[in-house]
Amino acid sequence: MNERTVRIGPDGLLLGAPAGGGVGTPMPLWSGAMHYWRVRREAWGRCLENVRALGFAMVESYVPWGVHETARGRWDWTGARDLRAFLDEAQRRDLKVILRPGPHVNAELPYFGFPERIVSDPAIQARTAQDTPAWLLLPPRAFPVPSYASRRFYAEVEGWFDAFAAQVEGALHPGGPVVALQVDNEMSFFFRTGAFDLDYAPDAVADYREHLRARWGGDEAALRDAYDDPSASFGRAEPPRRYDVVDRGELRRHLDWADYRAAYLRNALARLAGMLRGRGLGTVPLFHNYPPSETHPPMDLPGAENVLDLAGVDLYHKRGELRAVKRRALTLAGSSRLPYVPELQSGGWPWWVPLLAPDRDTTALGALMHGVRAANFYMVVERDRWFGAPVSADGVLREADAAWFRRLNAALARVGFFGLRRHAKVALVCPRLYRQMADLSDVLAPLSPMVFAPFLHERARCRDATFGFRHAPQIVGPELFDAFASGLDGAAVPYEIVDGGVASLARWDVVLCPTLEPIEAALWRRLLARAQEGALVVIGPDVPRFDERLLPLDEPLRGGEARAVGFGTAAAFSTGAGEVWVLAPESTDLPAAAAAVCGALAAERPAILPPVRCTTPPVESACFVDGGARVAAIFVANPTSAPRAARLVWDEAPAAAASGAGADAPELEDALGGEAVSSTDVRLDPYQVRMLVVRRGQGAGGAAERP
Amino acid sequence: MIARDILIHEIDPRHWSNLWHLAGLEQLLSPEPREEPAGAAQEGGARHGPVVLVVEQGKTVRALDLAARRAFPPPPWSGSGALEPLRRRLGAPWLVAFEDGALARLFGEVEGALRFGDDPWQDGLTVMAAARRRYGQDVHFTPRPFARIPVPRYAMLRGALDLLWPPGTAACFYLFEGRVPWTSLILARDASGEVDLLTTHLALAADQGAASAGSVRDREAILAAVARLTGRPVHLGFFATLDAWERALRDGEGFDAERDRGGLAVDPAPPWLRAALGASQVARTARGAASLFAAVAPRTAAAIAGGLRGLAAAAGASGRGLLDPLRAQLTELLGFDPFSPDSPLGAALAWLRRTAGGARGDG
Repeated sequence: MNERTVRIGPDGLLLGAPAGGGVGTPMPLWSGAMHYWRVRREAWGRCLENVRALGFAMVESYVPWGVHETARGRWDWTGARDLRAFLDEAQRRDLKVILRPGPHVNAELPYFGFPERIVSDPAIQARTAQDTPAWLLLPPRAFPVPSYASRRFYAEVEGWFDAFAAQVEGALHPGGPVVALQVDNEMSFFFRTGAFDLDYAPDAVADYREHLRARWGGDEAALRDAYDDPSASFGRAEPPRRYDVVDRGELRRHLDWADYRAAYLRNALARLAGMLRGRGLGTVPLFHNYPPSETHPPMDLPGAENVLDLAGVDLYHKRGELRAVKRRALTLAGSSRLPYVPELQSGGWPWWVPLLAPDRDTTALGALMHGVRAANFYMVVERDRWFGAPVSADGVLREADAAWFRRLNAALARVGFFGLRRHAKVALVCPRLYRQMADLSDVLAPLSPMVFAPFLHERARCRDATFGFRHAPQIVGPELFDAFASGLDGAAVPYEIVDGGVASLARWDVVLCPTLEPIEAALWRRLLARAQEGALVVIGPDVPRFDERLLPLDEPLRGGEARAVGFGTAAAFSTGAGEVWVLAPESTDLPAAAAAVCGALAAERPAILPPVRCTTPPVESACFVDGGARVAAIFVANPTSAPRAARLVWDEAPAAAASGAGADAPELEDALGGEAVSSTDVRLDPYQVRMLVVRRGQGAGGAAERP
Repeated sequence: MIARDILIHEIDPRHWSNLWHLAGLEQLLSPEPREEPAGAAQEGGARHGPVVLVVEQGKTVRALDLAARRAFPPPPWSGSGALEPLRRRLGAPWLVAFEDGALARLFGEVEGALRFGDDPWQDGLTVMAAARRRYGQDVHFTPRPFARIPVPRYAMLRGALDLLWPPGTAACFYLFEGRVPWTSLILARDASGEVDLLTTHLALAADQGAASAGSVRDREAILAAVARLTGRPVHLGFFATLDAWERALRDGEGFDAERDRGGLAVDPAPPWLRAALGASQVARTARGAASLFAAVAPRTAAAIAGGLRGLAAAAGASGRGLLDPLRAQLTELLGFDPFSPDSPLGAALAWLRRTAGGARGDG
């Protein structure tokens, strides 16, 4: 019923890939958004032709439940709402299509695209810890958000998915243009991720009890011991409604709740995906987009990819936020099977800080620079409650914006960007447990950490309780993570950020991971195994002793005799074919220790350095190589508000690094502007990101040859 | 007051951004992301931005400087009575303290009171009323310049808006720079009083008369085009060059002078606005009102000061009798005379003047 006709490949989609993982026809997952129901039907053709003219081979649209259901069980698929006709129009223009049927779509629609009867139904609404509905106060109308544990909610979604499936029957590849489907939208408790905010609806509490039973293996005695509570039981367990940790038993109870909240979101994605697959729509990849934020718990990139084909993160940024773009792109690069931005800003919505063309340019190129390999520009065709798209709602090209898209898409095609690889042999692991503890101990609860985390560090917003450990994991964990990131940046070592839930660390030669006394057991096993296999693994300041339930770990760190590294800030132990470095636990200046260790890494493992790098911080560079390990493209970024000059240093002569020994000296060319650029000195405007491609001479060959 | 299906379209990003810049909102809504761990700052010495204190079991567990985006060593909790001296000692423009679980209770009160389908303005009043109820219990705020202003009921607010901008009419706002619009806004209310259209001059691009409008002198063509576009008469039109607008805001006398110079026009102008813009001597009273937002968003402070200047001007003009009918109706609707020097609004303006003087060091 769901035999795959499209799969996710390393560079995008694989169309027609046979079962068993054979090779299909690769196609970049690279699209622009157009909302068919918001565009006059007479203008569809012109809009789609201009989407094509911008260089896109794929168009994306939401399919909003609340727009198509005009009364309970009555559907309108006529006129501008005629989805089938829209798909036909796209196919006639050789455009592939991505559809996003929700059920939540946002799209600046009233009630985020849900029918009014759904969000106004008390039996469907999520409940807060105060046992009130959970309102989302956004224009044009506030509404109580639905509970994604509500049985009645899913029963209603069945009807919507039936109607949707009937419309797209036969329209999925290869019979039709649809090549991927998104499951729901920005699933994050509707941006209310505070640990004690929601969901306390009856069905959610029932699910929590079942989750508890599974997490403790059905062993109620173990639960009673763990909670130090003789009355604890799975059937009557009450979720914590505020932070009230007085001992390890209470901390366990809180951690169980945090773990359930992540499972709640994963389970909702799995259930909705199962409903689509049950209607035969699983022949194409199913994916999800997390909201524009860090994907910390309760969000879960690798967890989502266990139940879907792909999960990504949306990006909307002012150009001064390049560091945030970098962090999110690096997280995608290290944690997803295809680093994908399902909504990459192209314009903005009126009730958010205005996002302009320079913001789009910096965000898009910054995302590509740091590892993003697939994206959907949102919006490419303008519509109600949106501005800044390159094609008007009448299908007219807006030349200034359109020219940028044409240049970008032409440059990516010319350099063969989606086949290049960013040089990154270092993983910076982000354990999920410390972020969970941070959210649990947030003094600003129930305000969402999504609001404050970007600009209030854990030391500012979290309680500093140590829970009997040597360090406060919720503070020292994130702080040391940041220190490692700064240290790697300072040493010009490229890296990827790896969610602690990622199943394998095999592709990185060096792995850094802040570790405190408790840690996720599975992550600890992966770190030890990777060291045994030959990698260099940096941990500390503590060697973990407890798992995520605060029970003793049974895998100790076994190593040979220690030697000092990083000017004595860490001790190195040989283990198996690799090595483990442990930050000195007594260090009082962990950031300095982390920086020293990062400097030492580059000396010990020079292969982690890219063949081309920028030596003039805060300007940064990223080096992309082709299949022959030749430098094919270099991104250079200026994250500051002042013009900067970048000095690029090449390990070997630029000619050798770029095109093989004996070739003519390569020249660099600005991929979007077309002008020649020095291979060692590059000028950058404030907040500018430049993509430079290697010009190859006659006979040198390669992906970047001039047309 | 805002239609559920309000049409918002034909917005040029740059012009929209200019409008936000004018109001100083960008700084409020676009915090820079953290770049490095902020760590703990030392108390004392430098002045603080707005401060949030979190109090648990009689002890301050966290002190946050929102402008600096960091924590500082929490001062001891000595009760809400000691907050104002503490604020002064810290040099913070304002300080809020939440006692055990107050935020959760505040959320609970708000979310228990919101009603499905209400207008966003009604929602805003619900939030304000809930916050007001918690003041002095477990939420403490200092200073409280608006403590004497009652939270109006929605019907009052709606009635006041109907008086100022009647249902079934449109309004427009244009600023020009170099013979082209620098920013613009066109709004329309339907017959039931819902704002159902928000757009800009781009929506007039196909209108022969208004497409090339680039100065205050072109306002007639613009007004006719807005009326054609919306199918409603224009009740209020404001047109100015950017230079004239900025000069008028800088100088308390500026509106008169710029109007006389032709750089600014209010056309059509309801009586209350004619009075407000003409009473320059009173407009001066709100000059430089560095608001609650001064520490985190100076442009917002300036914009608020500019808006309040108009209200203050209206208050002064009332003596000339131009505002009397409107004033009487507003007083009846709101339950207090918003233009009286002794009114809560008057007190708020006086407080803003004092704050502004302190912040700028000019007394």
